[in-house]
Amino acid sequence: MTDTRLIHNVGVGAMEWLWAHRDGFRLEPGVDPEIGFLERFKPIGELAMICGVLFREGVAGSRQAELARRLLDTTWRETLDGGRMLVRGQRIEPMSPIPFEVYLPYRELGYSQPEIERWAAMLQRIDGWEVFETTPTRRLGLSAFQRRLGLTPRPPEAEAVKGTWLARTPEPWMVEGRIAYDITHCVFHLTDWGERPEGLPADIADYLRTWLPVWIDDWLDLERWDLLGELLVVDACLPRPTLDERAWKAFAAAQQPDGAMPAIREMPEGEPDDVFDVVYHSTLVAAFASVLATSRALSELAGAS
Amino acid sequence: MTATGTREIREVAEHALAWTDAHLAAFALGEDALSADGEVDHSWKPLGELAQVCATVSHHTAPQDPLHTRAAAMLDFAWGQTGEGELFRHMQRLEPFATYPLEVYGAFASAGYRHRAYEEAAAVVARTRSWWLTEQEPTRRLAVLSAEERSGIRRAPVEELLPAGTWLAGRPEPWTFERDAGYAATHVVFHLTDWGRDPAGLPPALADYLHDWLPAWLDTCLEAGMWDLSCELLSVAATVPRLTGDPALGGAWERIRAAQRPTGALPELEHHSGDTEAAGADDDPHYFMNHYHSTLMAAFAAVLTTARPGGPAGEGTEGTGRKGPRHSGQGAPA
Repeated sequence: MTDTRLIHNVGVGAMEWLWAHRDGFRLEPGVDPEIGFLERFKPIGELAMICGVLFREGVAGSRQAELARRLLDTTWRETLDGGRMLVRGQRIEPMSPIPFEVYLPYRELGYSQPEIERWAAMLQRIDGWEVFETTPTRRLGLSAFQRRLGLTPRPPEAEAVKGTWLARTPEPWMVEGRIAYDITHCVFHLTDWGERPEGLPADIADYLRTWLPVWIDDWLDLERWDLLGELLVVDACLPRPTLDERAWKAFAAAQQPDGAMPAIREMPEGEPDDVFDVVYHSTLVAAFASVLATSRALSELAGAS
Repeated sequence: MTATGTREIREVAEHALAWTDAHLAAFALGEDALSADGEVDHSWKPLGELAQVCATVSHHTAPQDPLHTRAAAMLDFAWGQTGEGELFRHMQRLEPFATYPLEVYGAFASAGYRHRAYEEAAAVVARTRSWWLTEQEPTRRLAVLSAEERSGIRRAPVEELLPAGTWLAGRPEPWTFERDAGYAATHVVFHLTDWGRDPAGLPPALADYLHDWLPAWLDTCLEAGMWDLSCELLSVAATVPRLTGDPALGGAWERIRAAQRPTGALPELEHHSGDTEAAGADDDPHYFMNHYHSTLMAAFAAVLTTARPGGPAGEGTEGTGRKGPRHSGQGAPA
């Protein structure tokens, strides 16, 4: 069993880095619409989602909670201009789900932009939405988000999950990087980002119990920290997390003194914005894995399940 | 409006292929194409698209036709770039689960260029459940299934080749059409019709839907100067039975002709073209990337259009005779 303090400290460092580098969560309003104004929304949505998890689990220290609150306020008020940037993005790409995906975690934390909600409700009603082409796992995620926004998911999640790679539990030795991300996100959506481990169907949980340790081992050897972090989140979503000691120690050791988590092997060099774009995700994932694993470790200590 | 006849449309293809031929070196596979994390979109993808367009052009033109000669020579060049198929085997060893080598190979295989050892190796991976369940957008899934069929590694049952899940098959509200939906829609048609060889592969319900809405979409794309997507839509129009001869399409060709540069190049987007052209064309790496696909698509659309019986000006067919008029519903899956 891994030392809970070690797991917790990974998250402490990650939140400090995210706060210190908050300017990296930036939009490019001048970008050519053909290139995509929405491209830079994704990091902001991910940040809000992870901050939401941090509040929900309630195991972070007061300093971390304070940083998370300030990050949310800054990105909502300044970067997203109170949600008006989301509306602008929606006008540029009316059929894109991205503004609504980014909006959801903010809404769940009490921020509001009614125009995006009206748009999401409109999208839900039209056939062009249901046939929006995306991968099965993202489709499952969109259905989950519709439910969380209070809409009737199209298609229903029980239907959407059937098309995913993970739900069919294929040959585990076929897993490579891209499939691994499909697996982790499928678990995120099925468990509402770790909130409901019971959302994981028993056969999938069984399959993961058997094979996740092998994959964790593989990506640990390859020092692919971003993916390893996501797999550690998946571990914390299982009925009996392993909180694998070897993996957590190496993960913590890979973290930089300033809290940054390299995506693969070492930290990249370059302009601050470029470095941010490479490592912000792995650092967010480190915060996510830390808060969820800490929460599960404390639950076990308390004898709760 | 000037009527644009078969001869003028054919000239679009001639000029476009002349430009392509003059820029053939840019399609060559560099060292980075042979590594596992190479930029596929700048190497294998353009080469595969060159092969597909040349395969279609040579299929639809008579052997003595200069268009045919040029397309066949470029197809040979492209095959040579793959080490006559050997590099597909190399890529398969590096990235056994990647689907793009098979998708590119499918274009060659459909034109009769085969590499048996690669096909055998690809068939092994294609037998796994994991390959079958690879998560991709529905139109891309269709591309992979079609590549399997073309490469003879797996004869997909017809019902599995149905475009279920694609934007087009959902026949959504036509005003939800935008760029990504447009490219998805054109590619569904390309895969179902074997890139224009077999118009009967298009289910009648989809042909009806396209008949109703394609002219409107084409109009908006032309208006926006989106020449690349416009040419893809014109290619689709050439395979939808009742769209040929539509006067609106003649007007569309007039605009494509006007947009084509004296070099034969057609920019992907009108408003993007200025920078790279002014900057001295050939020295700018963006110039090739912003022009090669739309130029290939111009040739593709023009050859499909002029090969159709009853082209836009009601002129005769120049096809090879293998694709005479067919009943639109014939052989189409229900």
